[in-house]
Amino acid sequence: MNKFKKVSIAVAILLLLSLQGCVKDSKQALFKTGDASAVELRSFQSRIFDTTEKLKTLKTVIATLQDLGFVIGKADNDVGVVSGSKYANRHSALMTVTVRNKNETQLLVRASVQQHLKAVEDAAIYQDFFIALEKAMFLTAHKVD
Amino acid sequence: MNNANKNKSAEDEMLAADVLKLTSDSMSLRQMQTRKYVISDQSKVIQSAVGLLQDDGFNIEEINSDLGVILGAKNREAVEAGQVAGAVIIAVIFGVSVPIDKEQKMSASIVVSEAPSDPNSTIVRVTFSRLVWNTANELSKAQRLEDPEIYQTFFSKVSKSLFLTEQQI
Repeated sequence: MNKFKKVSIAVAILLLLSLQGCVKDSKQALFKTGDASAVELRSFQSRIFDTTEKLKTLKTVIATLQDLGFVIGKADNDVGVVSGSKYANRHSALMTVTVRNKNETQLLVRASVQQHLKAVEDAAIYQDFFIALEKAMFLTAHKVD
Repeated sequence: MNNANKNKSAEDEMLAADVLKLTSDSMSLRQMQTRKYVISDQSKVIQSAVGLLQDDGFNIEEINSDLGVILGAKNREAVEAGQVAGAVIIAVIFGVSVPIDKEQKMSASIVVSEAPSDPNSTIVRVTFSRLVWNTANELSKAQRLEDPEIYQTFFSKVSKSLFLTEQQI
């Protein structure tokens, strides 16, 4: 077998293998496709803090994201949104954190992350963020019921 | 894997599961990226930072004065002599062309905030990063820039522009 033939066969095998993970219609990615239900997702992406200081909380979220290696891309204190990205060579993660009033004495912080072209639906990863945020806030993060 | 990638091994090893974990170098990075200035006027610091970004050719993409967030970006060439030489050698020996880095988008994210327990001081933290595309229009690098000299240069510019000396925290 000559070199060209070998290479063509290898390329063909690689192409076929790459088809394994393909979906019928890539537009399906527009809506959530992960395993976790919307309720589960909200529960591990959200925590409640006993404070009403929204601006201070947003500033603490920004500082925590910076400590975690994120570059802050967007921030709005009226809506209460901070977004950032974290680069590690070709691996990049995008994160958005929202802060809103839960009631008259508490704020609700929700984080969502995507990396490797997928939404992160692993409760442990979000827990890491809230542990770091709790320390920076000097407050306990309560789970959402 | 090329040499530049090998040098950045610490970054490359970020595991998906550890994306939101503080690492052992988180605090040293914070120190490198942060300075404290004895000035209470945060809007003056923000204005000065915007001016410095403009001096270096950055466009301001996002700014929020209440949260003290500034994002600047610029597109520049990313052709490096070493890569070009490598590509030429490979082309001569193997007769194939390999893509080399062509363009980059460099970003500077600056956060200005009041120093904790010291209302007369302002803290500035800056993070530089870049995305690089090669001649095949593929994203070849997405990296945080972590050379200490970059940060020293930036903060000495801030000091000059504010007529103040910066302090490590």
